[in-house]
Amino acid sequence: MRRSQLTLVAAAGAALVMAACQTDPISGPSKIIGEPLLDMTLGPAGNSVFPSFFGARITTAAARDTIEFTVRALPPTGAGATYQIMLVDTASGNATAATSRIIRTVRNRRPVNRDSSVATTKVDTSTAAQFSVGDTATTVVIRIANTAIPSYNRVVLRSSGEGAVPATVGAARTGFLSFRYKTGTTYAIFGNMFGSFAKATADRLPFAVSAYVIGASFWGDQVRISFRNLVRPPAGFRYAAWMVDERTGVAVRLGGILSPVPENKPLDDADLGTGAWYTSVGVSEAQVRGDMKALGVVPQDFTFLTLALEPYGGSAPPTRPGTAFVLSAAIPASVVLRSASPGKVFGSVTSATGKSLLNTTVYLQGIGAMVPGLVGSASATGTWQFRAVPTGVYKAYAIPFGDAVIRDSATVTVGSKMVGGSLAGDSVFVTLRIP
Amino acid sequence: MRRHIALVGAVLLGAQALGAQVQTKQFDLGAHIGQQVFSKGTALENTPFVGLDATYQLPWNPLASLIKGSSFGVGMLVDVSRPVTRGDQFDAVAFDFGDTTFLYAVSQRVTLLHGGLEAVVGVPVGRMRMYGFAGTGIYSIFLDPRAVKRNEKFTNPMATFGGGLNYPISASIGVRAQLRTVTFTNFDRNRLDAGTTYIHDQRIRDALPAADPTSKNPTNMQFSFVFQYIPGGN
Repeated sequence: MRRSQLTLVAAAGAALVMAACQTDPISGPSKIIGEPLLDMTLGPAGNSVFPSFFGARITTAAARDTIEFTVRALPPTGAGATYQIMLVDTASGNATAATSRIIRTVRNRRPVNRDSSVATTKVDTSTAAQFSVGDTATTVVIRIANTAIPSYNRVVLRSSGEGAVPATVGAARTGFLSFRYKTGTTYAIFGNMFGSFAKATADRLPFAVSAYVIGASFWGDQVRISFRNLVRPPAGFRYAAWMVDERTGVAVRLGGILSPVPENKPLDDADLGTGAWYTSVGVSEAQVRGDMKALGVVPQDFTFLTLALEPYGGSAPPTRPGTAFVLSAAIPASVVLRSASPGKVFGSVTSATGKSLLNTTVYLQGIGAMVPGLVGSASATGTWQFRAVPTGVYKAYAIPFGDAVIRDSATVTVGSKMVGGSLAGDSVFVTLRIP
Repeated sequence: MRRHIALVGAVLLGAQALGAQVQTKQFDLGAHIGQQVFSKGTALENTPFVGLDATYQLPWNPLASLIKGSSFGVGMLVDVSRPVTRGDQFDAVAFDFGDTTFLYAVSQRVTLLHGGLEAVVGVPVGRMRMYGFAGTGIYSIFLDPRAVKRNEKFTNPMATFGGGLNYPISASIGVRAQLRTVTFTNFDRNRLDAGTTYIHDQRIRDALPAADPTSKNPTNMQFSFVFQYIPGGN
């Protein structure tokens, strides 16, 4: 073999050997994708209260023309959405919108005296088969006064998102809360059910908390939750994810559930809809995709995340989540660690008439909270202090000793600033004036 | 890996043995070096390759009556490359560290071997020669045992055609610029997934963009520069 041949073959051989022996660390998981997932343990919510009936009674007079009952923990409705009350005869399927009144509304909201955090609002409405619920879970006492009551045997609550009250009820589900008041000729209250109602028992779907959570995580600016086998929400309701700060009561709606990637189609009709993702009783697979950046959410300012039930209908979703929490999770510790250390709120109470300031009740309540967060008493000179107040917006209230009425209030914003490389809550001074 | 080297070496030696048997100017050898451009659906990243071809110029030429000076031959080809799979074409895998999970794309460096037979026709263009070829053979992909935790390869038929320009430097040495297409058959991209032994992430299914459409018969391209040697050329 000539030298030129040998050189050519040797060069080609060397190139092949070098290529074949090429080793590098490329094989295996070598490229991190995006931000790390900060995982949450999403499970059944321990602080949930679902809508329910209690205390129902029907008049014993021969006419049997009045039913009175209490509906507890009704979630807030969106703008323009209402709840409807209807009477149903499960024998014939006939239904009618009930003539009814809300005679009392109870909201766990701003306290009015130092002993109670419950505000009771008495409402004597005009005839109203439909009613809306404001910004918090509400308990209402409803009276149905209608001579047609003996012609039916069930009371059913609906959400207006389902449309007008139907003339008949069949196998199709409707309504989310129901109870029976008549069996044959006997009047007795029983069969309280939260879940989709239908004429036949077999077609009804009582609501139960049941889901397999594939994962719940913060991923960069997004919250991602994946589920399998969510139970269908009661008729007129849908699932929505919220982030809630229990300290200040602030709540932000992340959005409803969607079909899995890559479809990402809203599943707001999971209660009654038909489609590839629905079985007769559940949603086979779904996800939540919350864009915190778009919503202006600072995750460390919240304490928990929840998947809640909310009524649909109207022109906008509810502004608050109510208490129908299905699943919830604490914000991951790795996120909470980013939050500022608590601030301090100091203040004084003054009296224009020289009234004693000692033991004036002062409390801080988050701007969206239902109950006070911090409660204290003023000294003889009127000074008071809260030494560990999480950053956020609060209202400070003052109730003089022996009084039962709030005499002054002020908005308090506890911000934060960088101190020594970490965020620290501000110290704020507030003056409250009592008569 | 040793098996790959032995295989390539055997082909080289075989080519030399063949070269020793052929008559002068009826046999030529080409050593290729070039770039392999893969169809996006193959999940392989473009990579350099090296190869060898050997062509025997037949005494019979169907183009002889049509084009003066044309040639017709049959030959064999073999080339090897070590492309890296594109991890973004497969499901991400999850590594869970307590309350933090990292998502990874998983790649592997595979060894791709082409081998086949082809028919070559050439026509003179001034001092140069333009040629075209078509052929068939096999392609083998040897997976990285470190990534897939097993020794695995798959071999399927392939088809090839292309052409180039040949510039003679001397009677026995020349250079060629060549474009070759290689069409795989029975190709299954999923077999290149190096993440099968890991936990696939089910939470962020769009962590990676949607994979490119794949095909059972993807067509790849090879651009190469060829050193040509004609044993006994004068």
